Amino acid sequence: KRVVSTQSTGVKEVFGKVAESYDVMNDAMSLGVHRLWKDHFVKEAAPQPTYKCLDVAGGTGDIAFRLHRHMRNINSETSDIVICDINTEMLKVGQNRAEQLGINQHFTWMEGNAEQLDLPDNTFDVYTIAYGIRNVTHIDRALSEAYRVLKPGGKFMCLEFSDVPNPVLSQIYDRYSFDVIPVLGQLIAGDFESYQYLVESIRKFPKQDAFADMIAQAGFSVVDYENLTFGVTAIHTGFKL
Amino acid sequence: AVVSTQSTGNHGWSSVSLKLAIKDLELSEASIGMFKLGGAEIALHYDQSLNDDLEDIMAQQQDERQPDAPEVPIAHFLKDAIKTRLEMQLPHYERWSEGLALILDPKVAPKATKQFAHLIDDIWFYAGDKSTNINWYTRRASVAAIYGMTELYMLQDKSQSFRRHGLSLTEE
Repeated sequence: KRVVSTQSTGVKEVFGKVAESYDVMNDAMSLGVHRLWKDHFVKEAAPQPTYKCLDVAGGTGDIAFRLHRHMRNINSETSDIVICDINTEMLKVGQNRAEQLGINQHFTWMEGNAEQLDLPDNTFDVYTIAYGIRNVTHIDRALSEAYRVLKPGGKFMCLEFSDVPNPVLSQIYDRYSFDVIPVLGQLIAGDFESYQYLVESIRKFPKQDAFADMIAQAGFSVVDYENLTFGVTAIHTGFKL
Repeated sequence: AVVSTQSTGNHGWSSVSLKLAIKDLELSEASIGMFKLGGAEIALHYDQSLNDDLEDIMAQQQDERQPDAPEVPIAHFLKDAIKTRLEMQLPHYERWSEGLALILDPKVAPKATKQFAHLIDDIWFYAGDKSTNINWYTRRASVAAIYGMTELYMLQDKSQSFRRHGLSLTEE
């Protein structure tokens, strides 16, 4: 009995450590601002307690917990939130966190691929994806899936790193991205390459207008975006009409 | 997006009307997020749809004009256009002053001003204005002023007949 419990505790600790470095990395890279971006994102999403929400690529629960809190502040009776992620480890971390906070009964954790969701059509009022879509191989498929699972009138919201148009700021941002972030990754997470890859993948992701076009292509209407912190992050929204 | 102005009779240019319309159309409640300016958007949409109607009327009149018919005097044309456009607001007359107040709010005013400027442009276009000099600006400013004054007068007019507001338009 004791052996089993130490084993599961050990495993939990490892997961805990990995997730911790992710959190610390997020804080270090964005100087804590990612929390503000996420807060703003959820405020814009403005989920009402009756809304059915789907958070994709939200394994560790950052967005989902905020969505829940927003709904709870309006009414203690809240709808369940479905969280889908391709990575089971991240989902487990999120689940553990939810349990520690005592709110796990409000979430459904699903392993799945954003490009092919195992969910029925016309189900959700709100679809959110935060810092996940740039990792999707076929972004257009993820957008089509988002369109499919949303109810008519439903809202699509994406929070993602984007383009800094201001030439002076973008130079500073580039230097910080390419010179500082991978080094932080090495020091904090022991992983230089991953964070170098991250920074490069951000540059490869379509700029605000191009991404807005892709969203419209998937069928969404009233597509718009809002830049945060001069474009370092952008919120894109669209409606299924 | 289709927004029903039917419910404005009961609830005005408000988010309540929007919510009712959304419910009628059986859309997710999340779609209210489309209307960033809330009820003012209904007022804007209503205003724009009347502008579109006026343009249709002016375009049709132009098509139907005989090629050798005499030119309509510009002042006469302007008076007709403004009168026609304002009379379109009669069905929702009781509530329009609220709508007007809403779209003059600083958040909405830029959009409203742009719409209004387009309306005046259209009216001048069909009046036959081909100016490419400073007259372009002065003409629009003057018609805009006349339209504005007439509209305000009309909104305060409590008489049975609305013929009086036609007379307030002076010949230039």
